[in-house]
Amino acid sequence: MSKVLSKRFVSLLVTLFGLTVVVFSIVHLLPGDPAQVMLGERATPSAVIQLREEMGLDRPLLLQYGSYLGKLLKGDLGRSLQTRQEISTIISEKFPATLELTAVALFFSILVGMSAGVFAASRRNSFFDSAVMIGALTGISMPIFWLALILLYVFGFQLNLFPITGRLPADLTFKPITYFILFDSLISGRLDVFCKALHHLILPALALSTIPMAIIARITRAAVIETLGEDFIRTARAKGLTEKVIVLKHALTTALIPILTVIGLQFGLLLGGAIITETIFAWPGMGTWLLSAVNSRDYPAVQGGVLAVGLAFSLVNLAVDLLYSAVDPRIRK
Amino acid sequence: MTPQKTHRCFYRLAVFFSIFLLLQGCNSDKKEEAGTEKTEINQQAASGPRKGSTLIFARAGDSVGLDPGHETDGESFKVADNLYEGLVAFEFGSTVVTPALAKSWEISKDGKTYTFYLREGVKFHDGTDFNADAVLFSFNRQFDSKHPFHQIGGAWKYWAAMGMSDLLQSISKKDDFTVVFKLKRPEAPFIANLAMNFASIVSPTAASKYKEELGQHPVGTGPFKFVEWQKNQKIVLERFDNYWGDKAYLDQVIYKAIPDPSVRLLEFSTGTVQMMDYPNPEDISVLEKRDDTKLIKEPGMNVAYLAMNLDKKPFDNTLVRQAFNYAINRDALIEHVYLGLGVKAKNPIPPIMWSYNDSIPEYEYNPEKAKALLKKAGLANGFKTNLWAIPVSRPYNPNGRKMAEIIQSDLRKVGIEAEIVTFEWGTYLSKSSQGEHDMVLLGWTGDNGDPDNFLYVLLDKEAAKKPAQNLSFYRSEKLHKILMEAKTTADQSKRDALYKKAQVIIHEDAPWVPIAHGVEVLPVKKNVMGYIMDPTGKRRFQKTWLDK
Repeated sequence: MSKVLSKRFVSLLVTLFGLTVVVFSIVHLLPGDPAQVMLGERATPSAVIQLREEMGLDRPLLLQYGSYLGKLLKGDLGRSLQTRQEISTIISEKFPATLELTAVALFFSILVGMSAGVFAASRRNSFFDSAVMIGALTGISMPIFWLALILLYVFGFQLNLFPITGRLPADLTFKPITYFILFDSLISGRLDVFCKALHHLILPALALSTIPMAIIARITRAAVIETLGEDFIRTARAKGLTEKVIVLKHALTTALIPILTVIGLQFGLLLGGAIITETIFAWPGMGTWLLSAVNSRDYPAVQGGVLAVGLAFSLVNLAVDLLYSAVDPRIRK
Repeated sequence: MTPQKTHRCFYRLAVFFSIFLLLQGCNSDKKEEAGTEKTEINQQAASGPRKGSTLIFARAGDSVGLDPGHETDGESFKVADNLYEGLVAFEFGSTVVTPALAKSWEISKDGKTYTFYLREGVKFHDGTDFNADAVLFSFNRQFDSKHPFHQIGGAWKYWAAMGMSDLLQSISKKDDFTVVFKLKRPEAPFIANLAMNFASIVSPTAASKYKEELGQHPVGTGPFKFVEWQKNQKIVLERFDNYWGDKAYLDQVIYKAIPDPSVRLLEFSTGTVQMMDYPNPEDISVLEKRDDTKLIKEPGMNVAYLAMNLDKKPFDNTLVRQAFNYAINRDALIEHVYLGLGVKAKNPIPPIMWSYNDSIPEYEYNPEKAKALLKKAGLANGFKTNLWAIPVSRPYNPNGRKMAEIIQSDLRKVGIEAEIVTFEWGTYLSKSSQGEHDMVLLGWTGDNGDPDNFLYVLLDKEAAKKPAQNLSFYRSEKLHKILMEAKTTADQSKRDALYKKAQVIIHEDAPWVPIAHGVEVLPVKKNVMGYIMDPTGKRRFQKTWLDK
């Protein structure tokens, strides 16, 4: 096991190194000079030259990459060209917001998606099965911005059941510690804040969960149907086991590998931030931050942000690999 | 149902119900809070400014930073406007320069020496004293490349963009409350520059303590002080009780960032915020009908224009440029692009600016006249050209693509085939500054309320050197002489006359098709009182209070 782990760890490092090369080249190949973009209409020639010099953009690319990598090895992600803040500080504030939202959204998707998928598979070709499949198709093709606005309009504005935006009410005083608000509120003993944070989480998490939910439902259904056709299921049936035991215990556990893969992928994707959901719910996550960093050609911010997302994605993949061997004894060797 | 099933069903219901209760719990205490707030307000007298309460302002984005020397974006300034002050300030609701941290100033006869007499007894929010050293610190960190803080936080973008280093000779203090600025040449708009955000005075103590992070821990002398900033969520300010001037009424101002305009409107409609920035133009008519809302409107200090490149044929011909001015239907642009939230432009400067020449006749929409002028220019059969469409939405132009399409169809009616071209924003700016376009759509938002900041920057021959800001590459010696004279004259009435004359020359030479001035609309709840909208896009809350 430790051998597998160390092997995976090395490949993780290689991936991350590759990522730095790719991200560095891509951001520098993007059209548009950051100095020009920052100054906008006010970009007088001398101002642009002065700004490029002060941002170190006039040095050769290879030199810029070298000094970037050197600092990175020391754990220094640099400062944002735009806000002059440490990028590690920005990430430590944004990433928890994304992770909290993602975790709740994924929880919804797995809960509903898997149950619907299993249910549909066990009643294949029934009315319920078609309903789930149509629902899933709708979920995948539904534009999130539209769904999010509808959710806000109905549950936020008309019924006034949920708050409209943000992680907490604007006039509530609460100093986050780790920026995982749910966690912070609990450790500082503020149950009222916990309750409000959860309340603020539900609508964005619902909106964000639709696509993964639909994908998980479809893949679960397909995987369970496939296993239900196998010989060992026939044996189980012959043994006289109830349909419920057959589906949940025998078919689902065997079908879990592709489902886990999809969940892992969806999780990784969501960690990159959900630009539309974040924009609509004014959620201070990674997605909108990275987008604005790209738009303003904030090189260090883009590099740091993508690297962080890449690292998170790789870690999720690693976790999924480990889970494979936990659920399937055949993979354990 | 078997007893076991009933039991399970009951259990599930119980879980569901408790979740529901939890949510309701959150909601009900929100309502209670709102209730107490209401009675509290009711007990107050309705007349006159009322001290207390919190104003929540929903705006389109978060601030980038709050170090006034470093920021360039409006969302940063909207907060900094309340935290910091300069030696001078713009009067509320206008661009007239008034004393602020300087109680008075003198300008030498040659117009090159400015002596400022500073206000005494002013405190920064951190309790330190405001004096000449603080002024020197705030300017020299931007001006003097050997200043220990010059390298802190990277480039001084606004300082550079306003060409301050080319203008200033030296800054020195005579005594603790007298500061002398020496200029390399007389420059009348200089005093207006000092009312801009980059010229705000920061606390040297705080700057030394926080260095690059001053933008996260702002300390100024303004009527509000900084409390807290949760990125992309909110910025909280509270009244500064040791303020030297008229103290603010509000206890707190909370800036809440909500990027989507429809969602901002929903938040405003539920009543959790009292003021919102940039509503969708489509929503204005809905807002107008609401009893609890009032709309504050102000023509912005901006202009959208179409620049024709005089370096390219046939735009070197004045007749052609005039023909284009007749060919474009500005009324249609106001209606369809601005959705009514714009004012037709006939001059490069907006009507709210002093020296605006209202006696100039506008080029009315007249395709026949345009055709006749083209014929006179020998282009009766029209020609092919290109039209660059601005890729982003700006205060002066909400929709560059739509504008370009309407102009394209207008031009087609007089026989001109214009191909619409566009690039990503940064590329758009750099390519147009190199003069690669035939015609380009762009605009300008005024910085310091001085006509020089429009006319010289955008239309003088000096600004036509590549990379240029004079995108018409219009080089008029006659105009240059007038603009230089106006720049170096201190007498306001003389300057006024000179700029009026300059507008006549520009009108006749027609290097642009001036299109429109965008109007800003700020929806507020009816109980928001005393708020004055600034043409410079500032959001100042010193005089604002909440009524019942």
